Formats: sequence, structure tokens, C-alpha cells
Amino acid sequence: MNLAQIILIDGIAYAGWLFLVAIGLTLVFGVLRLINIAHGGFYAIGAYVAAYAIGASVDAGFSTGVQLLLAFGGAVLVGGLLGLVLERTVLVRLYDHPEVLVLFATYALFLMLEDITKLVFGGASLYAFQPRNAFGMVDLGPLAYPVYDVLTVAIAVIVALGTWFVLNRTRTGKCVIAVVHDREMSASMGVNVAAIMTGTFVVGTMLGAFAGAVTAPKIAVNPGIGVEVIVLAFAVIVIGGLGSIGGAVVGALVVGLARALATHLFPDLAVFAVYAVMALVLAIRPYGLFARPIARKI
Amino acid sequence: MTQTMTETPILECRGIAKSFDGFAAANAIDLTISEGEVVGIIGSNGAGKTTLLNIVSGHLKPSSGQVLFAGEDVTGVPSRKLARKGIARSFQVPQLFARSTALENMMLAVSLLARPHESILSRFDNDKLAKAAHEALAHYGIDEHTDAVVGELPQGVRKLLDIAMATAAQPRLVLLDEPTSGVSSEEKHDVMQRLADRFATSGTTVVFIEHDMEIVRRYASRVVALTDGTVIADGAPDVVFADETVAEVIVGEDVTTGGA
Amino acid sequence: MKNRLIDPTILAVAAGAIALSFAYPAMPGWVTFLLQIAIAASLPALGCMILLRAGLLSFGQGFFYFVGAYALALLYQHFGITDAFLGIVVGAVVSAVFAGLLGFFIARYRGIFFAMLTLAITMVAYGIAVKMDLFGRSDGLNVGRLTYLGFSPSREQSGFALFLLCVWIWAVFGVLTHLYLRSRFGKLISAIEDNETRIEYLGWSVKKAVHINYMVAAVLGSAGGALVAASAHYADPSLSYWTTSGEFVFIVLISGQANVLSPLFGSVFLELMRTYATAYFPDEWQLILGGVMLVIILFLPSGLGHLFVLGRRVLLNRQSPSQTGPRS
Repeated sequence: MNLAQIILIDGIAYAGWLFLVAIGLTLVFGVLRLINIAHGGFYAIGAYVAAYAIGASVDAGFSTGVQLLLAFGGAVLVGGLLGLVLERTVLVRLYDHPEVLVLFATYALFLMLEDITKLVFGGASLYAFQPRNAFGMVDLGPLAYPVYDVLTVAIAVIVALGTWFVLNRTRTGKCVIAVVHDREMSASMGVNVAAIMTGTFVVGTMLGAFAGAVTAPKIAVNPGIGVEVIVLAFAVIVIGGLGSIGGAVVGALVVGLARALATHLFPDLAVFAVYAVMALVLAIRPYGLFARPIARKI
Repeated sequence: MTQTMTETPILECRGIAKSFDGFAAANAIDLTISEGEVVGIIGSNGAGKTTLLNIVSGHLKPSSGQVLFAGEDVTGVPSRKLARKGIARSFQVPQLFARSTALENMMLAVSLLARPHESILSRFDNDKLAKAAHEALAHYGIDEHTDAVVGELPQGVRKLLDIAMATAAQPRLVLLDEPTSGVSSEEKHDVMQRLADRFATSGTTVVFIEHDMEIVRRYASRVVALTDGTVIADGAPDVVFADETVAEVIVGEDVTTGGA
Repeated sequence: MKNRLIDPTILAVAAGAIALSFAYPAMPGWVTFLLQIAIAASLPALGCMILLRAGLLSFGQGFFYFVGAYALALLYQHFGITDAFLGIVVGAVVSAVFAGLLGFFIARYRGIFFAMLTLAITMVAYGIAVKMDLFGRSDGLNVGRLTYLGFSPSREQSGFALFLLCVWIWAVFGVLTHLYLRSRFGKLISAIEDNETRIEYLGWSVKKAVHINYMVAAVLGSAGGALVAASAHYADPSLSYWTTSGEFVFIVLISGQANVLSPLFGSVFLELMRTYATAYFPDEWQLILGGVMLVIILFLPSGLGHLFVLGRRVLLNRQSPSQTGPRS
């Protein structure tokens, strides 16, 4: 196996993770016109719930499948409930405020979520490697890759396809697309815009928590993991164009490959890779690759 | 103002074309306007009238063609530079600072446009600017509205304010995009008369887009008819309105007897 | 808005600076230290304020705070240069250069995009700094006793000298910023959020105006950074962490945008809050801070400064809207 293939595999693995992390953020932007900075907080909470659930399941002697079920299910449940509470109590009051103020409110929420996470789960790192180890390794050519990481990519693909299906083939999905294009018009055609907005936000936070849960068996779960995710997720979705699902896929792939390239060829610049790509794309297409053109104002 | 044959036209459009993703909004427009003329531009919606104005005022770059202002090639020069050269433009939807009063709007216009020789870092002189702004508003007959927040003003006043701000620095060429649209029929003639008086005394060249044929007939010395991005007629109002192609194409408007 | 013979803001700044200078001997050490930190942070917050005038929220003033602080610290550690003013000037120049370069890119954006890109910049800087020995990694660099244009204060004098430095640098930058906001350019900036097209048609490039405004905010940020490094006697990469930038925005939110003095009040409030919170609720500081931010956003979007403005109006009995029109 040559270097190019290794970079490709690493790139796709990383892209899968990036997509999972970013999809919730871009969906919420599309419908609510809002970058939810607290998304990072939901990611962290999802990871913690998953790690906790896995720990408890292991102690109770459950199988790996059950461990993951409880971990993912628990994370999604908590993420969804919390998201619902936050949207109904805080966000709903802010929809007619200036957009930057709402952005800052989500930042305030993120700060609060970080402390709450620390208070509930403690500040120490949690580890939940068991499911990942249980799946073992698979041979991709001469390279031994963790099965769990391959699964992550599969999960990302399923989520992408699922999102596409719901948006384009279900009635609710089409209402969502209508709201994305024109809120007022959708409302006048009988779409329950408020429900769509709440629903999308909750789905977004569930996806954020889910991404955290999927990641938990791979990392040391600690309170700081939410921060890195936010800027990274933003860079990914901005490359494809905010609010575009296809854009999130493209952005994830581009960033994933760029980072894999950097990690293998210029390790010191790996941190830069993401932002360099973002800057490059924005220099050519200021609002991302698939951003919709804005109608003439005058 | 006397004109000789060799005088440079104030505005020349040569082969102006503009496409948006394959849609040709403007298609080889040729137009020559002499200083002091009052030209009415007519055409149905989508004919390319506002696109033409957008190009001439520097808001859009043409896909091809040239724009010459007093002999100087200004193709693609941005609007902020053209504003300083003496091209003023008003908008279909008045472009105002909605959160400020009419006086504050005018003060800002005077400050930014009419005093380029002073440093932009010099103090925003409230007294001097308020005085100059009052005068400008009075010229357009809207000085009774100085303290009203712009968002609450009637459309006719907003249109006049828009034009007053654009013309704060005595421009040579004024482009008006539907100056009377959205204005009540009683106010329409009022608005046009004020503008006519204002511009006639200064010899400013006026190009205005208008849907109300009676207004065009009364105030324009020349009419240009556009359809599908091309000029189909160009001449004195009587001549253009008698043209059958014009009557055919400008749907819904009875050009022979006036009125929309 | 009539022209006034003597500008009350400039008078207030001067009076405040003089009063503080004379009050120094009477104030306990923790008060003067808190004031210095508050003054230092009020400058990048002032930068946030001038950006907010154009409707732009910056999550990245922390980056310039970091640049200003490290300019001083690096000059001290690597070149043995201890002059405070030179440190401030070098920091300002470097910040201006960074803002000049970044501005070409960032001045195209508004709203959420602008905010998130400034966030990315400051976090990338943090990510790099925290790994480099040049910046002292996560521990930072120390800053010892400073000199002032050749004058080298003794141990007893250095505290007072440092305090005077903070107060008067703040006063100078405050007055300059006030003149900036009061100028024709300042009015242009205030109109950007309202109608960019109209500004272009009045002969000015909005992109250039935003670019310049961004650079001015950067210089303010770096001045504050120099003061914080001088006062705390060290500079560390956390200055560029997003929470630092978030605090500057919080300061402006709390104090409103009435004039250049406002951020100082907000900054003092923040420092007092921080002092009490870390003493009694050390594990819940972010919770408290975030909670207060939310309360302010939800119930007082113009900040506490709004309360001051309302009070003033009642006192002076102003009636007509044009009297209380665009902010000074």
C-alpha cells in the first residue's frame, strides 16, 4: 500500500467524523439562520453520556451491542431534551433580535453548558474504549485499521443518506426546505414554521450529541472537547456553504483529505490545514462552494 | 444652454450588454445623451431599464460594451467613484438610513458627498451640516419633515429625500429610477414639478425611468423605449408614442392617449 | 445635536484620569490592581464597541490583546527592552499590520460570518502559541519592571508609575477614539449597518471603511494587551482564547455604547464579578458569566448603559427625537 492510499483512507475516516460533527450545525443554520455555538456543548454532553453509559453497561456485563445502544440512545435522548428546553425557553425569545446578538447568546449557553457538564460529570477525563477494542481490527491491505473507525464512516454515510431522504422524500422534509427558502411564504402556505424551527434545532442538538457519543470510545472525554469542535465544524460547513447538506459532505471530504495530507507530509502544519483550505475556498467563493446567490436588492 | 455639434455628449452607451447566468438583461444598448436633455426611459417590466441604470451608475459591470461620461471611459468604475465624478442616482426603493431622521439623513449625505476637500477625519460639524441639510431639504420642499424618522415618512417624501441626498453635490447627470412609483396620484405631479424646476435651473442632465406615460409626455424632451434589453425607439415623445412597435410591446399602457 | 464649546466626554475622561491619579495613594493595593486590569480590558472592549457601531460583532479582539501583550513581553525577554511606551508602540504597529493584512479578507463579511471568522483567527493563534516555546507555551512569559522613556522607577515608585501608565494611556486612547467617533468618518461607520448601498452612492467604499475600523479596533486591543501584560507582569496564550474575546463583548453589552467611557464601567463590573465569583463560586464562574450574559441579552439588549441613558433623559427632560439622535 502506498502513501496515497493511506492518506485516502485516513482522509475518509476523518471526513466521516467531521461530517457527523458538522451536519447538525449546518441544518440548524439552514432553517434558523443561526450558528449555534452551543453545538460544541451538546457534542461534549453526548460524549459524556455515552462514556458514562458504556462504563455502567460494562460494569453490568452487557454486550458491546447493548453498550453502544445505550450510549448512542442515551446521548441522543439527553441532547434532544436539552435542546428542546433551550429552544423553548431561551432561543424562542431571541428570533427577532439582531443575528449577532443571538450568536452571542448561544456562546453564553455554551459557557453554561460547559460548567454544567463539569458539575454533573466531574472534571476528570472519562474513558470508554471498550466498544472500540471489542470490534478489533480489520486489514485494509497491509494496514490494520480499527473496525470501529470504519463503522464511524458507515454511520456518517447512513446519517447523510438519511438526512437526504427525510428532506427530499418526506412531507416534513419538504416543509423544512420550504422554510429554508422563505419563512414567510411557507407560513402563508400553512406550514407550521415554529414547529419546524423547534424541531430542526432539536434534531441539530441530537446530531451534535450523537457525534459526541460516536467519538467517545476513541478519545479521552473531558470538559474541553467541545471548544475545538465548534471552530472546526464551522470551517467545514463554510467551505461547502452554510446550510447546504451536500456542502457539508464536500466540506468534510475536502478538509478530511487536506488534514490527512498535512498530517503525513507536513505534520507541523496539520493544525493549519483546515483553516488554510477554508481561507482558500473563501478567497474564491466568498460564501462557500454551494452557497446560493443573493437576489438583487436595488 | 447652447449646444454645438462638436460638444461631447454627457453620456454615451456603446453596445452595453449584460447577462445574468444566460439571461440577457441588456443586449447591445446604444445611447447618446447631450448635456441638459431630459430623457424618459420607458419599457415593460424586465425590459432592462433598471439594469441599464445600474450599469451607468457603476453598481454593475456590463458583460460587454462601454460607458463614457463626458468623454471619459467609466466602464466598470464603481458607483462610489462615479458619484464623485458627478453622476447621481435615485432608487426604485428609496435607499435611506431608515433609523435616522430626514435631517440626519441629509446631513450625512452633505457630509460625505458635498465636502470632499475636507478631511474625513474632521469633526462632524452639526451646526454647519444641519444648516446645509435644511437648505437642501427646502429645495425639494420637504423641510417640514426634518425631525421625522425616515421609516415613518410617506413614499413621496422618501422618494424626494432619496433624490435630495443623491444630488447633494450638484451632479451633472441625474438618473432617476421611477421617481413617482408608489407615490399617490396627487403627489406625482408635485414631485415631478419640483424636480423639473430644480434641474432646469442648474442645467442638469436628467434620465428617468417612468411607467406613467402622461408624466413622460409632460416632462421629457426625449423618450427611449426599451424591450428585452434593446432600444426599439428613441426620439421626441410624440414620435415615439406614435410608433406602433412601441405601442405593441409596452403592454397595458395606452401610449397614444396617455395614462397607465 | 448642537455643537458644544467643550466636549463633555473629553472633559469627563480628563477629569477622571486626574482624579484617579491623585486618588492612588488612598486606594488599597487590590483596588488599584483591579482598576488596572479593568482599564486594560476596557480598551479592546472599546474596539468591540467601534466595530459594533458598524453592526459587526468581533469574537477576535483577544488576538490583538495577545499581540500587544506579547510585543511588550518579547521585547522584555528577548531584547532586554523595558520601555513601556516603546512596547506599546511596537505592539500597536504589529497589530495594525496584522489587521491590515487580515482586513483584506475579513472586511468583505458581515454578521455571523464576520464573527465566526474573527473567532477562527483568534483560536488559530491560540493553537499555535500554546505549542511554541517562543510564547512560553501555556505558561507564558514574564514581564518585569518597566521603564518610562529613560525614567527607571524604584521599587516603591514602580507601582504608582504603572498605575499612571494605565490611567493615562487609557485617557489618551479614549479621547482619540472619541474624536474618531465624532468625526465624519465615525458617522459613516455608524451608518454602515443601516444602508451600505447608500454609503457607496455617497462616494465611500464600505469595505475600506470596515477595514480601517477593524485596524483601529486592533490598535485599541493591542494597547490594552500591553497594559495587561505590564500590570499582571506576564503574558500568556490564553489572551487569545475565545473566552477572552467573549469577555470584551460582554463588557460592551453590559455597559451599552453611549460613549467611550462606557466600556470602562462594564470592565470594572466584570472584574468585580470575577473577584467575587472566584472567591465564593470557583467552579461555577462560566455558569455565572453565561447566565448574566443571557439575562442581559434577554431583558436589556441595550445593556445597563441603556438604564443610564434613560435616567439622563428623565433628568434633562428631553422631548424631541432629534435631540437624542445618533450617538456621539
